[in-house]
Amino acid sequence: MPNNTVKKKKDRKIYKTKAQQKRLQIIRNILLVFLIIILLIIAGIAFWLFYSYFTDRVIYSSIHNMEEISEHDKKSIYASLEYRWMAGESIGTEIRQSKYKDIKTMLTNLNIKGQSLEGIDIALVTEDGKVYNSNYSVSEDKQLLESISNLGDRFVLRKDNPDYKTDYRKELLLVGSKLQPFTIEGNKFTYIVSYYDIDLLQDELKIDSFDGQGYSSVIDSDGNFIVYINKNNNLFKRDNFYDRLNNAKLKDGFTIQKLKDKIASKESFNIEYSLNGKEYIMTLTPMQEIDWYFVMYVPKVVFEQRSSSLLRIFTILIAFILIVTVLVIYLLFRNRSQKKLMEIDIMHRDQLQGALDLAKQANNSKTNFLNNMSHDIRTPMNAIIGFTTLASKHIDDKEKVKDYLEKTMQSSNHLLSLINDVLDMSRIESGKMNIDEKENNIKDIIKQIENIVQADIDAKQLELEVDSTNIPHENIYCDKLRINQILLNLLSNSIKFTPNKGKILFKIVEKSVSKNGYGLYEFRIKDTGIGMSSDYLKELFEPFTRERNSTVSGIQGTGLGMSITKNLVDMMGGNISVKSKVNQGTEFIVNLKFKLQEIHKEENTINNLENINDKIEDKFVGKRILLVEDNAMNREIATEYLQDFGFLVENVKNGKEACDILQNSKPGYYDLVLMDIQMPIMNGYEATKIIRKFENKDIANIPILAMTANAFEEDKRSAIEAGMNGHLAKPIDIVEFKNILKKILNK
Amino acid sequence: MKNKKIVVILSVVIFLLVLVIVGFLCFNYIKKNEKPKVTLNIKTPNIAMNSVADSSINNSFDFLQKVANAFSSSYKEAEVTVNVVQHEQTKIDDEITESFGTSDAVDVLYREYFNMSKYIHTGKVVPLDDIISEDIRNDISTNYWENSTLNGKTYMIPYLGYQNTLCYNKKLFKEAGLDKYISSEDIIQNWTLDEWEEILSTLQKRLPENTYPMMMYAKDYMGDTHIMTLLRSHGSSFFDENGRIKLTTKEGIDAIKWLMDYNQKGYFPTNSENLEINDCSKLFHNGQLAIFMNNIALNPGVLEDGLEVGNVNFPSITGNGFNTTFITGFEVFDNGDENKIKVAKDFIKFIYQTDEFLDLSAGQIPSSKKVYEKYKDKLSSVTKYIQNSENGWNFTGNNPNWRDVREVFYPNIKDLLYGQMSAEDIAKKIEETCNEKIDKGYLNSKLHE
Repeated sequence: MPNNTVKKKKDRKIYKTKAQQKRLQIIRNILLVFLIIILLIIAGIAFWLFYSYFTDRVIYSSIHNMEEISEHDKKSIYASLEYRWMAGESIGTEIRQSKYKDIKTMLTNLNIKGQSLEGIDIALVTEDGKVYNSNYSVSEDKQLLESISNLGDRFVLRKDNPDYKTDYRKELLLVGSKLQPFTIEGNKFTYIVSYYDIDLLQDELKIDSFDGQGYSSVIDSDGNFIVYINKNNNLFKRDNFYDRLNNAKLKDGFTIQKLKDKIASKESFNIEYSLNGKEYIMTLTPMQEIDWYFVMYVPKVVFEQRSSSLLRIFTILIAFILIVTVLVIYLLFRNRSQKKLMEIDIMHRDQLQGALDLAKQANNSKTNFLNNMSHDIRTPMNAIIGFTTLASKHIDDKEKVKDYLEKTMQSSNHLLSLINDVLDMSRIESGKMNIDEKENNIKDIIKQIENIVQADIDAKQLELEVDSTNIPHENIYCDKLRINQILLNLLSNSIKFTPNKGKILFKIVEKSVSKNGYGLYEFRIKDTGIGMSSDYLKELFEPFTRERNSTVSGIQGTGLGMSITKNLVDMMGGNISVKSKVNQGTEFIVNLKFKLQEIHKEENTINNLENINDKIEDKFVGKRILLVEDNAMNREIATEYLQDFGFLVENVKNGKEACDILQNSKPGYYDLVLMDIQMPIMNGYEATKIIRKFENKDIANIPILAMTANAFEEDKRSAIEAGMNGHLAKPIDIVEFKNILKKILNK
Repeated sequence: MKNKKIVVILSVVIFLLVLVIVGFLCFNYIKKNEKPKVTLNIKTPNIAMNSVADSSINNSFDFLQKVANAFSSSYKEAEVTVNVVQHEQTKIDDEITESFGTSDAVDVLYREYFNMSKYIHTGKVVPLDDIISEDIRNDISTNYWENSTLNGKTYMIPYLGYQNTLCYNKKLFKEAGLDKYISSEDIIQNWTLDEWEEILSTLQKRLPENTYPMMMYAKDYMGDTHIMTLLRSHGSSFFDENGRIKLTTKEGIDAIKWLMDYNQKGYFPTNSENLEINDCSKLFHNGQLAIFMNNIALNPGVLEDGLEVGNVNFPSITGNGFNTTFITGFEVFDNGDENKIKVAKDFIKFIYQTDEFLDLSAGQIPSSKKVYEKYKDKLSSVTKYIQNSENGWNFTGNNPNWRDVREVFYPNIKDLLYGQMSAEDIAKKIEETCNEKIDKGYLNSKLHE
């Protein structure tokens, strides 16, 4: 049944989609996780590279800052020294110009003028090393003279305070200038020197650079600190620059000696080193004109803090962007999946709804069918029961009995056709309908059909025109049974639905012959009947549908005929079309292809009563048949049939009784077993298998025929596999039975 | 499914909570049983120090470092790191006040009383009565304890003392013909004001060029106690009963006039208002100044320079001159860490309970009597100071703002030496400027309980 097939296919499609969907979802999730991991790794590597580059740039920039600060501080130091040089030189010049006559007066004035310097003292130095201090002290310091005489016109140097024991100052800063010499009391003064606290230049330095973590200092060529490296440093931590670095790990191949060499060569340079677990960057720049070096060092962590705070912001930003991106992707993905799922859901729902609608429709149709079937089955059954009742009542009236029996036969045939139709539909739905192509003559088929319907034609005084003139190739391979079914169904419908004295045209035309030996035949059945509405035409080939049910139309039918016809035509590779108008008639056109060959005709109808009295072959008379049938009525009918044909019939009710009786029988007592299949206690297959295992081979090999209501191929196959010799459908077709018997009993 | 999720989440949360609680408890247990780590900051200015018990000690840093090394290695109650930091005399006050509230804040200060007593009034100095045992208390003179106490609590603990007197260059005295004033004994002499006049006038006449009779300076506050002592020369007590400077008395004005007169007469170096005490020290060591100040710590340096000196008290109208006694000792600061205060006090206790370290005070005037007794044979030079101790005077008046007083005192001496103001005006100005600081000190004073 096409719709059912489509429904099953759709079900299978829905099922497949869900499983596939789940698999796809898992794959997607795995891919997403994998993608995220890859992205994170890439992001991590990128970040690490960026961090390294960024830190390097920050350090580079910070070193540049350090150099700038160094230059600034150097300038401040120069400016401060410049002021003091000028102040000292000014005082020296003034004293020279004053032309003091005695040292005492000069010292008194030096004392006064020295106050403007805000230093400790100021002193004039003679060419022979005498030092005349503004505090009036006069001392000899040849070492001082020696140290300053090589320093040029202006000088500045660090000096240990010789009075440290009484003076709280450990070191002094000497700022001096060469003077234009002048003499007082025989003392030739050549230098003026100011003494300052070593902290003098401290304030000139930007020691609060780098958030107070940058340290500036000035060292002389021996590594002595001119300026404290840290304002808060105490007296006893003013050690030597080189000594301080002795415990440090210098990087980039630096050694203390290399450091000294570079300082001696007045180079500007940077070094990295670690001391006490901390890393530092130091810049060293020479101070021109004076033999000092400006040193600035900053813990590396300061740069890292600077870069890290920026990087922290950057990282947070990137992390935020990444998270948002991942979230967006996830949400989009999820939305897409959800959307797709929703779409699939909707599709499934639609499909389910469609299937539900179809099921409902089919259910409704089935309900209607069952209602109709119930009626349609009851109708012939009523006729059978009624006519047999009447026959029994008028048993002595042969004519009446004959009439009743004929009508009973008709009703039985009709009932049989009903059952056959239902079975056919069932077979078609389960795919068990086979097309059995054999040699046939199409004109014989048509003739036979004509004969079959003639009575009905006559009954309704219809005009049947059969035109089969245009058939050059009559002999074909075809399934005569199915062709008959198709054509008889169409014709019987035409007959049914054409009012009395109407007209039916049955035309068969051979349209073409193909090269591979196939002929295309067109069968036209046109009537002047009641026609069909256009709405019904759409559902014509659907099962269980009739435009009018038999009660309303008074016309009996199963509602399966057209569906069966359509399916048979489709199975044969043909096509069927219909044109109809209400009250104007209907035309069916069936196109079928057949392989061309000469055929012999066969008939497969139930013989009418006139054939029942065919002569029974003598060899069947006296043959004993063991009839195994649980149903009493069937048992009686079958027994009567067989006895009429001269068989001796013995009955049992189930397979077990059959086994028992056969086992206990003499070999050859029974000639044949007719075995029903569906029986209580033991079914026919089981009984057959047991019988076939009997020790006595004569009994074991007794011919057994299956006798079933079903005539499906698989029933036939099951019967053969059980060990039976053949299969007979109920009700027993005597001709077929005889043919089978001939085969079996002649062996 | 939903329930399962909730159960899983709850389980994870509970597990994490348990982990945190267990970790916290473990941490607390470990911390409780762990020795506290304490860093102690000991600060001192550069105070010259000689010790007969250990010749390697030259100054207060040497002394404290030696104690610190022994203390940190032997102290059991905590892991102690002792930082001994020495600052310049003129910078240490700023270093101390600026370091409050930082990790460099002073925990123990070793300094002259008169320079560190002001911190007591900040409320940051803790009383030390709990660590002064009966033995320690009995070992130190009452006079020293009086100087260490305020409002009945002991805020400083004396270690040693310096007694500053004046000294004279015997050679210059001889050259000036002042032999009679030269003592052959190792004593601290006293001269009457007339004798002072004779000595100084003789020196002024007879000393060679660029050689001056007596020290005088006013460039900064260093050595101001000597000037203050000179202002007591005519009977002024310098302070009134309320601890305020009182110089607008006859005695005070006379003393000012006396100094002005000395200046006029050339008994001081010319323009001495431009000199520091260190300049005078240099002149003295150069043999260009006849009378300077001296103490037991500075004396070796004097001797090193080949000077032969005699010691004399600052002049007094009574004939019994004055000396300025500088007690040097310890203060402990409260920086908000109980552990640190305890360790700081234990550090002090360690010194006073360990003979080796208490003995290092022998070289100056030890505050410990038993140390003096132990080393008195080597401390012959200390004897004269001990005998002279009754001539000492409390030049701070125990006022709470001595540092600020010093900042405003010396400019008045500059004015005195300039000679442009009258003695009365100078006296008045000294009173006004200094007492303002004293009043401010008392106003802001708070003591640690």
